[in-house]
Amino acid sequence: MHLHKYEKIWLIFGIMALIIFLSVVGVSAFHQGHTPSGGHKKIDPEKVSETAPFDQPGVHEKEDGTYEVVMVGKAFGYDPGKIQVPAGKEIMFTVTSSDVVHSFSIVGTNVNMMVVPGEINHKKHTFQEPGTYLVICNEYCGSGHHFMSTEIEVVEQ
Amino acid sequence: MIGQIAKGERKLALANLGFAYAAFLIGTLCGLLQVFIRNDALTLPGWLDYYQVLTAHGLLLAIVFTTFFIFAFFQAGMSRTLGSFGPKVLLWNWIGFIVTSLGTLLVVIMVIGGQASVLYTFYAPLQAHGLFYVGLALFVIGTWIQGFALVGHYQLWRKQHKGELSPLFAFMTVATIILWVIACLGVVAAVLFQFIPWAFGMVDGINVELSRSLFWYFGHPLVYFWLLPAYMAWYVIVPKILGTKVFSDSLARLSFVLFILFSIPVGFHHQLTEPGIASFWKFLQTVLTFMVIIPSLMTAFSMFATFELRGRELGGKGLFGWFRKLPWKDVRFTSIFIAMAFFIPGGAGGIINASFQMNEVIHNTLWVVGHFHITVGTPVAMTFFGLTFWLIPYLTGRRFTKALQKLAFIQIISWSVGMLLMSTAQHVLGLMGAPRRTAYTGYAHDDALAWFDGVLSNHVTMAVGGSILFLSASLLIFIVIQLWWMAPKADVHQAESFPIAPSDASATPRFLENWKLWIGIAFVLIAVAYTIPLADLIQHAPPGSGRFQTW
Amino acid sequence: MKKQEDQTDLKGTLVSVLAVGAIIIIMWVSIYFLYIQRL
Ligand code: HEM
Ligand SMILES: [Cu+2]
Ligand SMILES: [Cu+2]
Repeated sequence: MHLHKYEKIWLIFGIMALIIFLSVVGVSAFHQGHTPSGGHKKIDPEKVSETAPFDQPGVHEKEDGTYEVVMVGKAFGYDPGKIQVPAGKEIMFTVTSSDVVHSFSIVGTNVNMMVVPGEINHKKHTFQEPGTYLVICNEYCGSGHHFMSTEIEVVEQ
Repeated sequence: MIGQIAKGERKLALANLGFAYAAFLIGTLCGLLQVFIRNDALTLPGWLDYYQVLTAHGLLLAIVFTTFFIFAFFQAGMSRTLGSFGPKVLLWNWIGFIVTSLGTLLVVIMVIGGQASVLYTFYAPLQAHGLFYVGLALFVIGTWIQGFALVGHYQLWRKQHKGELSPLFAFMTVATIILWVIACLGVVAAVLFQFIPWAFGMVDGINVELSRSLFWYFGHPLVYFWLLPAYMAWYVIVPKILGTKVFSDSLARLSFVLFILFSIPVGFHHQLTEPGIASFWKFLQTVLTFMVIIPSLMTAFSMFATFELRGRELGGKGLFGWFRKLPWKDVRFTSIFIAMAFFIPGGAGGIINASFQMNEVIHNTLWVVGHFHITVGTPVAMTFFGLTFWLIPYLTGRRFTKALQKLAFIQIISWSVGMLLMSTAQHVLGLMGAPRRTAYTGYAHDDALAWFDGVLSNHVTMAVGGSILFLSASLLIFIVIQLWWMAPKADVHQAESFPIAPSDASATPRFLENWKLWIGIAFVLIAVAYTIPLADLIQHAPPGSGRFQTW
Repeated sequence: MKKQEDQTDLKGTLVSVLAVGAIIIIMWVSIYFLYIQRL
């Protein structure tokens, strides 16, 4: 198999670029903690409202000063609806679904989580700017999919 | 007639093409409806729903149009390069075609009946009518029958040509079929063992995350099932149209082998933001995804090299003089060249999508819609248009007249303009957070109002592009009808040919055609990438999800 | 034989594929920065 000299140059260049891309996202993910949303805990999708932490959906301040937002997605809305959280504080979003697959996506941020029944998904985020953030479901969930949205009020503390 | 294939294969290929273009017509009409509904410029009658239309659009264009076209191309090309089909090969191809068609019809009936507005990804626990899944299974089985019949034809050829490498077209066809069969195992497993028992009420719960993982085990190689036939046209057909040979036989084969190896164990890159799969496995599959970029880098080089060598032969001077010597007036070439050009941003976007946490920026936004319209929706589809222009008259014995060639130019140019507008708008809107798969985009919030503000970043621009696209699609249907029934019959001298470029295989290593080796390595890679995470999803399954019809 | 083949003039090809590479890198880096900015 014969490679033209320029093809070698091109492939080395291309493969180096790919290696650099992978290293950058790899280090950022595993060293700096910017992995995409995920989680490994399971939940009975029919008993969501009886299972902790979803028996108490809402905003919870934790002892270390960070927050947890517990949310349930269901056709076609979120429980709780509009919430208020502080700016500049680390927030752990914890979500699941009590029916079909949805998403919990905050426009203008990297919070873009799949909400899968039977599974609990997590994502950490810190809002730098106060304001009203739009939350939408961007995974098709039925005839009211495009109505499934809410807002998060981020307030200065 | 020289180079003409037997009547049996011509009929077979035409049957597949007819089905493909019927799907294309209805599918693009759905696309037109979508862009208007999203702008609130059209209200559907009560019996029709946006998500029903969108289900039809995705299925008819991405699954039906592509698959039927691909088999027409394979059947005609295999007969052209390996010789006429025997009666058995022909019969099994027909049986496969009929099963595929029945499956398709069943699926379409369920969608039209409002029993299956689950989109082409049919994510559980949305539950369509059981027959929808039966239709999907029939569809896959039908393609397998056609695929195996073609492989049978190839095996006969190899028996009669011991020790020879097969023609490049046949090699690539077999590689694509191998890829398709291995890929379908995932979706077949999900449909047979999860969806059908659940939809017919034999079991009560479904393991949602497992079904998604099996779907995407299939879903990524699916895109390579679309892409590889386009690459076949680029590698084997285009050089002939240019009047030259394949740039490198061995590298062409190597790239297809790499696609078999690396396009399957990568499905998690569609599930990067999902729970249930550990970050380690998501990242491992991200790395494997990056491996499958390499054969496309090789393809880019081969294409430019083919163009440059030929352009220089024709007298092109300097760094880019060869570029002007290419046969731009030949729509069979220009169409495919444009297709290739669209694949540059398309492929670059794909690298972004697969880049692990960067996926959160674009996942399920309109960016993704923009992305697949400049991968499958143009590079693949427009390559198929470029093939159609000669394949139909080749099969019907008619002429691709000067007037029709002019129309063909208008068609590909309008498609390019429409797609540029629509897909650019979609990419930008996606970055601004606009979601995909939504019947309307009127969220009461400043961020969402901005989706109607810009020049390119505007839902209206998307609709303008979509309308131009639909006009272009109608024009294509007109050309197809002309080439099929109306254009003048060709005599011996004017007959269209099936262009196959010569490919010098004298220096090509034999082991490239050792399929057992490649299939074996492919399964090892699949086992490495999938065994543990899938076993984990099965062992630690949550109680199953019930049946939901939320549409 | 091989030497000769290597001299086939593919400068335009090299420049073209490197341009493709540049597009890939520019697009990737832009979205990477968008990601960082939204952290
Ligand atoms: C007239 C030409 C076309 C127009 C106007 C068009 C328009 C659209 C629009 C607006 C969407 C997004 C809808 C949404 O997310 O709410 C869409 C989705 C889609 N399009 Fe097209 N499109 C066209 C041609 C094609 C072609 C040729 C293909 C493939 C060969 C294709 C494949 C798809 C797929 C797979 C989806 C995703 C469906 C889903 O989300 O389930 N489209 N199209
Ligand atoms: Cu939704
Ligand atoms: Cu993929």
